[in-house]
Amino acid sequence: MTYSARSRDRFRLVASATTGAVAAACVAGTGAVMGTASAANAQGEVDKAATRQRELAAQPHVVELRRPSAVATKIKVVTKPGPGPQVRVVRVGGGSSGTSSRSRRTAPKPPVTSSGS
Amino acid sequence: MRTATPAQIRWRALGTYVELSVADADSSVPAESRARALLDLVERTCSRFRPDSDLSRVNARAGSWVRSDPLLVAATVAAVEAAEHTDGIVHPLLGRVVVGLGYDRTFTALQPGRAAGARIAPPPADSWRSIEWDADAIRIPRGTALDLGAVAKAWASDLISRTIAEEQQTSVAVSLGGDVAVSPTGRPTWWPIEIRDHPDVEGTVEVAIAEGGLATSSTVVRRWTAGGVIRHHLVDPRTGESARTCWRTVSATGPSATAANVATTAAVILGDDAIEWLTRRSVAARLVSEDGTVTLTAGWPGKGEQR
Repeated sequence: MTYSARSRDRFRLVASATTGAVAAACVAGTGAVMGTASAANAQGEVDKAATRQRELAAQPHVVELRRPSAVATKIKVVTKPGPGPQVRVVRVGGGSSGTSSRSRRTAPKPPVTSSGS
Repeated sequence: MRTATPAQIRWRALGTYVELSVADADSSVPAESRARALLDLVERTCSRFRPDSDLSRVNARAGSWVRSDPLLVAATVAAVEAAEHTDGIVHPLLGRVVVGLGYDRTFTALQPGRAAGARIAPPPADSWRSIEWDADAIRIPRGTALDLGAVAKAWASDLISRTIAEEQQTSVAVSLGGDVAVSPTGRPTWWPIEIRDHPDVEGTVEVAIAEGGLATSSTVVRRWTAGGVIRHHLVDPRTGESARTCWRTVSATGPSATAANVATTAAVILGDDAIEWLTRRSVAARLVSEDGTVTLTAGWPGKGEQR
């Protein structure tokens, strides 16, 4: 199975169309047309799969076994911009000797991480 | 009960700095080893500066299916999602455009004052929708080239922090060139993060987060001159030029470093429209204009700074 942003859009449209009564009525009225389109789509998918197989078969399999990708690609990363974590201000102003609002505590302070240039 | 001592290791990779912080110093050796291995993998699969990388092979055969390490597939999917979330403003197919602007080698290898390259027209606005993939193969549209620069570092930060937190059961903060990912385990650690608006100015703001991501995008770093014109690496896909923007630096938080980076990259490119775009998505952000004026969106704490 291959994926693209386009095919995912198509899946979403199909899912949306099959959940509404209005959409169901439209489908009933245009069954023949949809059947034709569906057959054409199926043939198109078969052709695409054959092209893909042909192109890939012509290449050496270069994925090296020593690459530990399987572990890394299990992780799903959220990519959508939106509400983030709570942010605390520690210091505002230039220089490294600014006022710190860190609470007094005996535990060792975490090291400072950089963001920016 | 033993009190864990935090530790930080710094080195360079992917053409930028790496800061790996762990809440328990006892985890630092295996954590560093894991991080270096993952960065090496990202470099070998996603770099456009290595002719033998998976990404270079995909670009060299644009229009055909190319076998690829699953890691590049995952990074490409993240980049396609970034384009979806930004209506193509963060565009993964600007590889040829960026090369045309003169960014055709690692940034440290760029010579100042080089001649201008041939201007490359940007790909069609929705061309990213035609990128196809499966578990271990990718096909990009003919005439285009992938450049995951905007997203890959942040995505790698997320990958590394999550992997180490899971394996070592310790809280982790990873910064890859300023894209910070924090993965908590157990008691939260508030990781202080220094935000730098300009390379010549010492840290202007220090904030802290205990989870998620924080990213900073800037037009004052990764700049070069080609044909007498100053360029920077944040390219507007609508023009094919370095973004002409009112912001010199944008920082934002997000549920991950990738999400935060997508927001900051889009904000720089959108310019005046960025505030509304960020506000509509409830993204907490700090934007610094060319003259140093700071603008904060809701959710970014305003203590000591103008809103």
